[in-house]
Amino acid sequence: MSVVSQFNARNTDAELVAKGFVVPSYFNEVTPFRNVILVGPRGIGKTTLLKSLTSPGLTVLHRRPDLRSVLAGTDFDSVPIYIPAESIWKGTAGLVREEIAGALDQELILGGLFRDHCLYQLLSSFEQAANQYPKLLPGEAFPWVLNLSPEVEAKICAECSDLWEIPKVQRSFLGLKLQLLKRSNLYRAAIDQSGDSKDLDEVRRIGKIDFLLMLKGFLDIVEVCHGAKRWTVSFDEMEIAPKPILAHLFQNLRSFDQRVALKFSLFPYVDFYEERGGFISTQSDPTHGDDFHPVILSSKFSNDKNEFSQNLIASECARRGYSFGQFMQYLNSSKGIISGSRVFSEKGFERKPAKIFDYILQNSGDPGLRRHLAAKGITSSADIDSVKGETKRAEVIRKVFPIAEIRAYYLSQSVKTSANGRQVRRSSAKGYGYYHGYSQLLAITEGNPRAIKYFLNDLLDDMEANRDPNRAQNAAIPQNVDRFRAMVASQAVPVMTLGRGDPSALRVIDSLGRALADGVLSETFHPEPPLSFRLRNIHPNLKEGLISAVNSGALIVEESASGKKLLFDLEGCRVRISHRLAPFYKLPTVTGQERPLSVLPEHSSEGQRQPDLLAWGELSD
Amino acid sequence: MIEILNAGELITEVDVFVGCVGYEHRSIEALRQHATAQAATHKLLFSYESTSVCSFDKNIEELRPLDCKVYSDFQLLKLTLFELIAEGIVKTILLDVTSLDRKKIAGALSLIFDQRSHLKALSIIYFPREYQPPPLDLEEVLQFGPVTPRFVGEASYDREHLALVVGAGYEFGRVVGAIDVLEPEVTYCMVPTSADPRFEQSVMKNNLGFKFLDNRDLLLTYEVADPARLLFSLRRLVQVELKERNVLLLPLGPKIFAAVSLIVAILYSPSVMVWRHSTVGSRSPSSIVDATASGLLSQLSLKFT
Repeated sequence: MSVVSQFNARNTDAELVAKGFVVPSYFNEVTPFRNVILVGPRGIGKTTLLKSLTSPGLTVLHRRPDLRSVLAGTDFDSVPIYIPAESIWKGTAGLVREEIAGALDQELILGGLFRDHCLYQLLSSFEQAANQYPKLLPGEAFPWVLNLSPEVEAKICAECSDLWEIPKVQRSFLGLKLQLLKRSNLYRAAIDQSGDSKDLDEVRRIGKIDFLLMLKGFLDIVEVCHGAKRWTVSFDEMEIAPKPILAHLFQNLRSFDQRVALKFSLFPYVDFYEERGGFISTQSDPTHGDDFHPVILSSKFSNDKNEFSQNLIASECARRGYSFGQFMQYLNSSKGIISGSRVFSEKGFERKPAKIFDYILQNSGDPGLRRHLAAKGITSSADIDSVKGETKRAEVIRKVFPIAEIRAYYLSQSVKTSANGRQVRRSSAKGYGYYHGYSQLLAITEGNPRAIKYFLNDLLDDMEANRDPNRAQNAAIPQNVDRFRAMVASQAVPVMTLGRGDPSALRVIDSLGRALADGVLSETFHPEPPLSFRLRNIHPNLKEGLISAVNSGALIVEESASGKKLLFDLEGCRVRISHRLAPFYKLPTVTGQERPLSVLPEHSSEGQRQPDLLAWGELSD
Repeated sequence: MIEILNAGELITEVDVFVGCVGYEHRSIEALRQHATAQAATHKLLFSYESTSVCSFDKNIEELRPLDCKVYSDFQLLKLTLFELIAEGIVKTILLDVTSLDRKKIAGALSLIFDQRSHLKALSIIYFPREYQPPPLDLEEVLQFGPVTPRFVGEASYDREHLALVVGAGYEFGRVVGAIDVLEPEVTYCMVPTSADPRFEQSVMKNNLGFKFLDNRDLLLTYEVADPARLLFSLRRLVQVELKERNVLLLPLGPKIFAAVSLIVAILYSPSVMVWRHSTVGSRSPSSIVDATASGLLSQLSLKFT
């Protein structure tokens, strides 16, 4: 089995990340020397991008002939510092809140862990920039690669030891890093309250040391000792960081230091202001446009051209020795797709509504839609062709088609009465046919590189093994949807935050998804059922679940009409369910009308049972 | 020094039995079936106080004629155990992990290993449940973090990335969810096998056939009935991984795996992390189901020398 590369940039060397880097459309928005906030859920490519902009990453990018025009004209004249978050922070923070009684002690421990981790990463990045120097090719000279003598290293480290309150003066990066690790382990040990309190006492003695002051001091020291004057400091996955610290970093986007361009990557919903009792904008707050440039990496609410996804798929196909066209053809040749309903070409595909209507009219499964068509004078295939005039065709065919198409897949069999007297409809034997094909793969992966790679890993293996594309896609779709659902369910929201009885992200999403599906697949056909929600007067118990759903990428928020890109409040926002979950609820991969949402919506009893991962697949297969 | 005893030389006489009484019928199985537990001089039980839930009331009734000390405060139970050890009254311990939650297993094992210089031996027992189809729900995670402060791990210069070692259970989606949250560089999945193949089938099914693993060679199996071998292999795995990665053990599935994981972590303390999930199940009493013992026994005996 050959595994698709770089599922996760976190564990991949920057050189390797940069070698396989597919340039996203927003690349040139992120690279200039200015403060940037990258916003997007997990797996959207934030780490890949920021790692590509580290010292070794930039060197590799600049050696790639295919990127010359992309990189030309961008100001890379700074030393890049990359500070990744640790994936274990959130869990550790939860334990600290559970074990340590005082808020001040909690802050000292979490703040200390964060600060020393960041200082360690700061040193590592700086060291990395120096380590690049002997590796430069003849004639190469890059501003992000530093020539650092052992004497300068010793001087910088000695001064940093003093500034960072390291007990013993260190004269090497190694020594300084070891001391930071030692102090970091003191903070970890202080969490344990079962024995004596000497570790916590020591933490209290050290007190609060402001990371940004330490960072500024480091820049001053390096400027004096070495001469480096410009810096880009990237904080990756900062949503995992303690909220007060995050708020402090955000605050400093306005006033930090002219020598530095700060780049943060964050989840879509900015919740660190909750720590201040809700977001109240003040004069001193940094503003978008003036103090930072926000770049939204989240899925587009509608009309995504999927250019990046296509490039990524093409790149992975090439890496595994396949042509892009070959893979497209493999997906599009699925027998699960209603015959003749999509005509494929190299540019994409064209939907053939007549085939879908024909299919519906020939099957008994959707009397609601048949009644709707009959009311418009369509009772046979021949009637479809006889609908003339642009306006009439738009009203009778085009407007109806997106919903008619998904109903054709899911309502192809008639309603029967079960043993217990319930009306039961067996789903179509076509399985996930509606979601088959290349264009639907783009839709149900929502431009999320990690989701794309998970699918590719399955489907390229299947293609290699000559597996039937219908079966292959019917297997890959529920597996990947389940994986995403499991990830959403794993986004722990502590009991302290999530009130007793408050619905979690998964419960919120399930409730919304099923309510929308009720409208799409109802007995009575609605040509334009709601497919999104407008959040109005949200009940307080829904808030945490909604935020968690937005941050995990399960809910997509429509871009604000006001142009403000950071999301501080969900009130008034329009949201839709990610198409990554569409097969679970049987929802179309289109954007539709909105309905208001303030409390969890009612939905049919059929959807109330949450089946397990494979059973829901079997229901439709 | 710790010596792992073979199946033929398990400890048959103990000074104290430590276990619990909960809503699972099997929670006091040791006191019904296990001669060593029955004959223990001291019997310390933690009570989950689950009145009217499943078999709890019946279990309490069964305990009445037995000479057990029942605690509703686990700290108090630990204090009693500590005092018995400190006074030299207890030298051998039988710990029943069948229905104890992971946090309490961690608390008990931490205490026992901290006091091991005063002890001769520890025996851990686990009664696997009779097979029941796994729940259909994807449980929502309320908390996912270190089981207790002792298991937060340590920062080390030699170790940058994370190795996740999961004891897989049939909790739907939990392993893949953990991988997505923790983003380990390498993931080992340890799958329990037992006399009843339906467990293994359910574990495979509810973990998507482990298709999410980058390397299928890292899917390992262990015998629930042979915890000594599990301890050897897990210890070896952790020893190797610690040379270059931070190790996080996530014991889902049978509690005996949790006990073994905690022992390994204690042996390499403070390097190894042990995490647990706290799920929505506890907020949803309807999701609670009884569990009866299958008749099998998993036992691990250690000698402190």
